[in-house]
Amino acid sequence: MLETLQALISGFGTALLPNNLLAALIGSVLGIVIGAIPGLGSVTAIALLLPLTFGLDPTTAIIMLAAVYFGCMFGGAYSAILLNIPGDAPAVMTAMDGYPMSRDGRGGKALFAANYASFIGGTIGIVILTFTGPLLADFGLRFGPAETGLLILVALTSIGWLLGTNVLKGLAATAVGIMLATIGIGTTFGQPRFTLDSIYLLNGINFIPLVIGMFGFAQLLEMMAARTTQPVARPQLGLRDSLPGAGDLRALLPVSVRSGFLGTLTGVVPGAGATTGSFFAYILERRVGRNREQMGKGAAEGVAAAESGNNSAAVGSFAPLLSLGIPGSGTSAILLGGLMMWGLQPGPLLFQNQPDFVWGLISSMYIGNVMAVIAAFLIIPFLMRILWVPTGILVPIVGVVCIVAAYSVSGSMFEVWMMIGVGVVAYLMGRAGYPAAPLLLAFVLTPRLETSIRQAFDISNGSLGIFVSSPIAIALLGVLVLILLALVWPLLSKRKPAENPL
Amino acid sequence: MNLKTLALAAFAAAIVGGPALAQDGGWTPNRNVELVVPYSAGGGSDLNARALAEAIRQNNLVSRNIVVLNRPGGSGAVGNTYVASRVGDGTAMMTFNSGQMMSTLSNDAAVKLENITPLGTLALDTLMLAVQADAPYEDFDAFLEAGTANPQSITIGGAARGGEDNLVFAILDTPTGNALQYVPFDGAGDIVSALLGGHVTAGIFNPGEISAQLEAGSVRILGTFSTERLGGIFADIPTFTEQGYPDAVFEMFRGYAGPPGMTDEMIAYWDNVLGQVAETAEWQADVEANSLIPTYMNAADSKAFWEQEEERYIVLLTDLGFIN
Repeated sequence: MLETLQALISGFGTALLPNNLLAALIGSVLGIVIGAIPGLGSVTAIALLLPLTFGLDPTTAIIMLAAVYFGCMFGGAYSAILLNIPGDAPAVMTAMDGYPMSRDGRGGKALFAANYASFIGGTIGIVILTFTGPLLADFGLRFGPAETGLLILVALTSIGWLLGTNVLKGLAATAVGIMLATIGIGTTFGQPRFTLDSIYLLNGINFIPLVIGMFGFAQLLEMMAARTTQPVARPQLGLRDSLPGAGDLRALLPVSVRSGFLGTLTGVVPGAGATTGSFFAYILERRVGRNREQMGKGAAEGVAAAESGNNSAAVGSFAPLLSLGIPGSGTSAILLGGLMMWGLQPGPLLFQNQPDFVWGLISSMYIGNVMAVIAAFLIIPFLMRILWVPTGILVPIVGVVCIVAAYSVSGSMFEVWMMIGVGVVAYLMGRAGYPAAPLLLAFVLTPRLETSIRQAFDISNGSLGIFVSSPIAIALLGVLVLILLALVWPLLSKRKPAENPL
Repeated sequence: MNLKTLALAAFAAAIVGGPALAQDGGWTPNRNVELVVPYSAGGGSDLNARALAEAIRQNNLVSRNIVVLNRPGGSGAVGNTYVASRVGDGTAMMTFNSGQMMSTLSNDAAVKLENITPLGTLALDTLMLAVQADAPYEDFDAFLEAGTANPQSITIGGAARGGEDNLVFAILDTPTGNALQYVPFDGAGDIVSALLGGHVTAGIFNPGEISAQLEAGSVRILGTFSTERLGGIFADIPTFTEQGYPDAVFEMFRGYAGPPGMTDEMIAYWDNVLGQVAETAEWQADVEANSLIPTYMNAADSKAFWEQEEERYIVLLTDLGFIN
């Protein structure tokens, strides 16, 4: 413990040099801007900025990239809250409560809540990473295909809590999500399925046009159908009323802390990722939170849980990278490539051979996180002006943003047409009361589930025994059974009064 | 241009060693060059393309800018199709490697090797089989014996089904009478996790994907699929050929290709540029950092090698049932 603290303090010595601080500030502002643009996320940001950092000293470069990473995660919430366009998969959970808050006139509060929670969640993740990094990585290794498969199954089952009042429509939407996810070449399958012989469908439907169509474009159609020229919500709270007070901060602290711990642990599991992290945190809040009745209708707690869970999971995914040289997420995979270009060999020996670099990186995460929250709180007042824009002006702008974001995925019109088609279908579905979030979550989780379960059967030669072969697997099975019981029980008990209306 | 100035120009070019001063008196790009990457930003092909563009820029080998353009989708088919559509255009080229060629075969894509122009091969990559450091197998023979004795008890993780890892697995599996079990993963990181966590017995890796684990002593490598022993920390590891399995050779090319209908002058131009890139310090450092095998094949040799590999892949993929 003492050694860790000493190493950390000397790491801060490196990270607090003026040029490194400047790199962190530039990185976090760039990250927030790129993250806020729908369709661009931390993977793209780091991939594009990486070559520009080759001229820098490796420590300065990695500090800048860490700040970009944090900035992206802060910025990712903005379009979800303001425009109902989640820029990436984890932000789907942020939009669940964030956009209703905007419609309610509390958009500014939602933005502050999101970044406050991001900061707390990120900090918890970094502290855990600092003191238990190698232990955390070992915990992740215990998740083989069977355990990962069960974890994803728990997540998929928990969608049941998001279905709202009309369970059948929710189940139908989930099933559509599962079916869409089966399109394309699967990892374990190796051959194209349901691709209609189109090369654009060979690797499956891309998530970005799907989510932008389902949320952003469908939203735009709804605004057009409403034929109103008023801003999204009026009256909107001004900046002064939106600033988080001591009461708000105190109310959101327990949510952010809970979600931070849960998110970090989820992020360490190979392949689980930030989406699962933010989803678990949201579901937990929905079950145990003080304000659970309001969740999904515009509760700041919902935004906080999603954002804290997402940020801490992203930090958790660094544990396997630093301790074992195994990238835990798309972004850390790109960082791994960067480390190699700087002549560093990421792997189990990195802590021993390059302690200056590793502790410089870990302390730069603290600084990147602080820089990002400072930059975010300065940017939010300008962003809030979007809430005052009249619908007549907002609609064409959102339309352009949707189209550009879809086009940027692979530089082809196919994604644009698909985004528009999905948007039209999603608008009609929304009218008919079919929810969008369960569809998207099922779409994200299903490929992971299929891969893991098939790998487990390959390993066990078809035997189901592999799903009870480790304590973690048995515990997850127990959780699964409990969730199923908790979901089905109220349905069974509710049916009785329905049968006897008097 | 009279003979004297031409000689002077050639002299100047020889001294400065600068931009290829039209050594064939022929073609030079008249606008920015698009270097298409048929995969997402941040992947292996993307990093490779950016390193190439950087080496060209730093050494001033092409007078125009090289613009790296990601056109992902269809396991490479979207990018392949895009480049193949630029018939006769010397300013469009793309990264082309073994895995990309393999998916054109298994997916029966519209654009195959015959529809593009090979321009050069700048590196080879190979594969190896790793087990946990404390695994009970002394060498590859012992590993195979254990596998044959207990069918389906030994699991080998590889990237995807129907890709390179799957093909070399099939080569190893043949002597056991199909007693080994292949487990497809999304990528090398997942395979390392599963191997270190004890969820699979062995894994198939590129040298660059496993070197850190080997250095840390957490894995043991039972053999390489290269024709000759690799250098550096892999120098002590025998090839499978040395161990008596001459079929177990697999070297993947990393090359570049242009659209169909390129003129001989265009091909000669890029032949020259790529040949010079192979000599630059920047490129050689990149090859070493990624544990690749330094190689240079010009356009004609690349074409011959790729065609020979294509035939071999067709046989292997047919055996595995990925081509009918």
